[in-house]
Amino acid sequence: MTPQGEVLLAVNGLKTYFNTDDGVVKSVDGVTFHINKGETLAVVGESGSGKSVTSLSIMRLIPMPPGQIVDGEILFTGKDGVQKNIVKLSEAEMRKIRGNDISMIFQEPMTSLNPVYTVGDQIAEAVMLHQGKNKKEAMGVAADMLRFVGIPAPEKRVNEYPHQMSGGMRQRVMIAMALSCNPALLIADEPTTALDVTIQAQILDLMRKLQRDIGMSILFITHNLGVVAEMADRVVVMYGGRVVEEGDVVEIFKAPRHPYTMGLLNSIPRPGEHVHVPGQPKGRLEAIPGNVPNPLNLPRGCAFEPRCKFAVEACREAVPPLFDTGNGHMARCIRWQEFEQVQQEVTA
Amino acid sequence: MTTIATVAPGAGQRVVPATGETLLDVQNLEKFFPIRGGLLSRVVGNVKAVNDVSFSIGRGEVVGLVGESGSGKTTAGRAILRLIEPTGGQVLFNGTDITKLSKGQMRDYRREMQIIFQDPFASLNPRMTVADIIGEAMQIHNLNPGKQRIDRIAELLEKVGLRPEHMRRYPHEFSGGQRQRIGIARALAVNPSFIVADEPVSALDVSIQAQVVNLLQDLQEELGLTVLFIAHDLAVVEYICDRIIVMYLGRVMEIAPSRELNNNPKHPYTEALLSAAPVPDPTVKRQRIILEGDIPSPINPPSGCVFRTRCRYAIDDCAKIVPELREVAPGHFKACIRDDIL
Amino acid sequence: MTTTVPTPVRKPRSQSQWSIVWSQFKRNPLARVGLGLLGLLYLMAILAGFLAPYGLTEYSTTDRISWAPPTPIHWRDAQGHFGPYVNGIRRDIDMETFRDKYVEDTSVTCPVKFFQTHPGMEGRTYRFLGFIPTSLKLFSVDAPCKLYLWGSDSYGRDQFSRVMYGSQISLSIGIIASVLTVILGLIMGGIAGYFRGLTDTLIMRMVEVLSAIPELFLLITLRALFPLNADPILVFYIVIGILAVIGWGGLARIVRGQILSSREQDYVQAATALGASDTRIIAKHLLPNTATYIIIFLSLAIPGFILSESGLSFIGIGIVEPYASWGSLLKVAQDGGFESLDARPWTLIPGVFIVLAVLAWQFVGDGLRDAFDPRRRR
Repeated sequence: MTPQGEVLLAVNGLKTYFNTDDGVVKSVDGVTFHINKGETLAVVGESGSGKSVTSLSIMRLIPMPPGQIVDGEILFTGKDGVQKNIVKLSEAEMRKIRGNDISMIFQEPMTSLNPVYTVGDQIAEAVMLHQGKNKKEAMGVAADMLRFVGIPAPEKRVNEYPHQMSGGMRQRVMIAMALSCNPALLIADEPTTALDVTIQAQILDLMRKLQRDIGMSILFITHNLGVVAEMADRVVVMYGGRVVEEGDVVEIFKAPRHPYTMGLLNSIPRPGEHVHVPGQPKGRLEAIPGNVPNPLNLPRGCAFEPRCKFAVEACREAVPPLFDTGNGHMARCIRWQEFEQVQQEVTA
Repeated sequence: MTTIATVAPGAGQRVVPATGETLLDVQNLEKFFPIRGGLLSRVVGNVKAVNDVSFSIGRGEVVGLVGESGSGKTTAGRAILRLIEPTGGQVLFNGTDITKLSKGQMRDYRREMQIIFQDPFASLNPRMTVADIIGEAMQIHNLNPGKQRIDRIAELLEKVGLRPEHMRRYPHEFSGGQRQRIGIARALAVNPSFIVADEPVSALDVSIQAQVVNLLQDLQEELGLTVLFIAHDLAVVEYICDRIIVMYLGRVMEIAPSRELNNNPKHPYTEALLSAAPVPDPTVKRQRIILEGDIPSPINPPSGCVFRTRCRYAIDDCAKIVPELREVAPGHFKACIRDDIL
Repeated sequence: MTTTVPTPVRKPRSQSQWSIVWSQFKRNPLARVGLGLLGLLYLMAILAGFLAPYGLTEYSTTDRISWAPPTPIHWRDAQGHFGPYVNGIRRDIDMETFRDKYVEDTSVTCPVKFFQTHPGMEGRTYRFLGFIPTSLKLFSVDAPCKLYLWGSDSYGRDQFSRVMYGSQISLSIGIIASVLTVILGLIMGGIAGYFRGLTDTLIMRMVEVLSAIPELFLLITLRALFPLNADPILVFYIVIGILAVIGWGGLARIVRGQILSSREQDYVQAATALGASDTRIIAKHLLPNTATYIIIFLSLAIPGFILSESGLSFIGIGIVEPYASWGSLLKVAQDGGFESLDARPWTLIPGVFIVLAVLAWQFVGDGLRDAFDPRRRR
């Protein structure tokens, strides 16, 4: 299922720290993953997992200070075919990449659009900047892009302001803007979290269709496992600033090797399953106990250990390494082999 | 109006739970927000946030109220508690129409009806300690005076899974899930019989949501609470609710027992809502019903059926007839004029 | 962009909002300097009677020494005795300019005495801390010598003593006027925001009308309404009161806005759901939220009123003789034009106090604003 193709982006040992009054917050602490060309990689995590800081680091949009990329490299092969280390690029070189090679869409489409310009102006701006087109040509591209993302009457809509549009329409405009320069990589940071379910379905459908047409890679950041199952080819699960599991989407959902991933999958109600039957006792969700860890005060060993029902003494001693469990599946748990055994017994 | 046999509107149109005694009976509830304009701030229109909503909840029942933004679910929940004054309709609680009560009379009923909020950050006064927050209700109603009050607060904290020593802390020292537990303890402080839970887990981290859902379920069973559980998607609701009410643009679309609604939706909107929810299973690839367009503005809702602009089954009559909520199977109600679909 | 940088979860320590604000405030060096300075200035105003060697209006009718320069203090006399003393002052005429000039009369020496009471001298009696009548002075010299630490004015009154006494009026005026403004603003803004509707409309239209009245014109007119023989202090407080009556509009607008937005907060709804009364909701949930703003408003409005007072006194519609404020004392520097500034630079000393007090309040106000604003927390 996974296209073992060309690597588009490789993040190696990325560390992004924030200096705060109360100490150094290691938001991203040695994160390694890669995205192949044309693939959708989902990064899953809760608040404080470091998933958003990872994406902002790739865009070099970390506010410095207080933030700082202290270590690691982000290797990216742009449209020119040259591999660059994003961490080392100058701000001017980075500006050429942003919006042109890598685009980003955000959770809240209202605050990401400038309220005083028409949506056409905002799309045209990026086109003029990166493709050297004049205003008239760029407005033409803008209208084409709006049609491309399924906005009806695009010639009329280019002259509208963001506030004249609904949330779903604004997210379409954001996507149109992000795709206007044919980026090689689209970073989508919780793009549907603020939207209604029926609108979310529209946007996810649109993103799948566009990816088929353009062939770009998508880095999809979300906390919603349902969205992950629908969109992703591969999945990276983050917890406490580190990758705890990585693998093919079916592997992650069907054979998770990290207790956190297992816990997450068990704790969500699945549409259509466990529906309450009258007269019968109601089912129980299997909750993960405890709280999301304080990024200032992570445990010495495995970050998930305080909440893990499988934790043993060894988990407390050192941060476990990422174990390769085969098929490109990695898990940061010292007991992963036991889970594999149990599963084999169950299936056998 | 309609050619199809309908239940007569008004008092006769009772949507009662299948079994048991009715605790809350909402009849033709209506909340219009006036839109003012012009030099003299005249009313130039209305936002019809809740329009002719009727349902009832049996004692000890857990009922889900589901809808997207603009459906009026939150407004309905608050209008039932008179946190927002309804502009029309009746809310019968134990047979008393609470919309007619004076502020003073209403105060006694407030002990019976409580609310849990979505946003665990906005719902706790940042300047009060946990003990003050939970104790406020007891202070207002003169419950558990003196030393007993501290004991009761400690007991409530333990009941929601916190520790008694937490009572001296301030809200900002807690995580979202813990704050939500404090909000639940506050609602329980007056021993209510009915609770409106307004999207109580939507703002929480995924791994915390199940904790809070389980806690609510435990408390509901232990205390025999009646709960109106408001949510924007069906996943959590169909799991813990006996019955589900689906709202769209201020109106009720469908009411049915959870299992019935999930397996056999009768309204096109419910069908689309069920289909839109992403399934956390990458091996399931199903044909999805994608609703076209956006939710219309509640200032100017479509004529006839409010859903018709996005409905794939819409016919000409849908623009002319406001569909009544009618029983299509025992305990299963829908507001759609077509019986030849679904 | 809503993707946020992680906000660090604070360490579990039970701090009320006030203790957080205080610890934030303490980290701001300018605010600390401002607070220290204010402490000194207000201590000075409280102890004015004790610090001032002379009474407010005390001067000699027989031996009037106008515009005396600051009296030099000597530490060792001809006999080698150690201890501060001053010489007498003799008036001479400068034979070139034909103006008075003062020279030290070394034949008369008077030691500076500390902690002396001055029984029988009406002008020097004051009420210590407002209660205990006494004439105890930190330092003083006996007649016939004069100790003019910062020179004297045209009547031969000691400027140091007058600056001390003037601080009482200058520093209290700001507080009284601001508190009055805040009370009016809170009540009117609170009523408008909580009850909304017609009440709100009426109050807000009133604010607009008030803010359209030219202030200085109104003040001059109002001052002219009072008879000349009315107690000047009383009149001045009335004028300040009127300033507050005109000035509450801005605050009322903001309080109204805050009440309007915080009454929609879930925790206010929660209190309503619990059956809390209107009064309880206003007092426990709504007004405390405006406290932050009120405190900042106060600390920034006070220097404004101090400046207004100085300005009004300077143009002659504020504090008038025989009373003194820093503004009215500064007016003295104006007598004689530039030449007098050149010849009597010490008359500008009251101005230094105005600048210090205003700066100190602004440092404190800025510090408070930053301390209350979570985005500016360090």
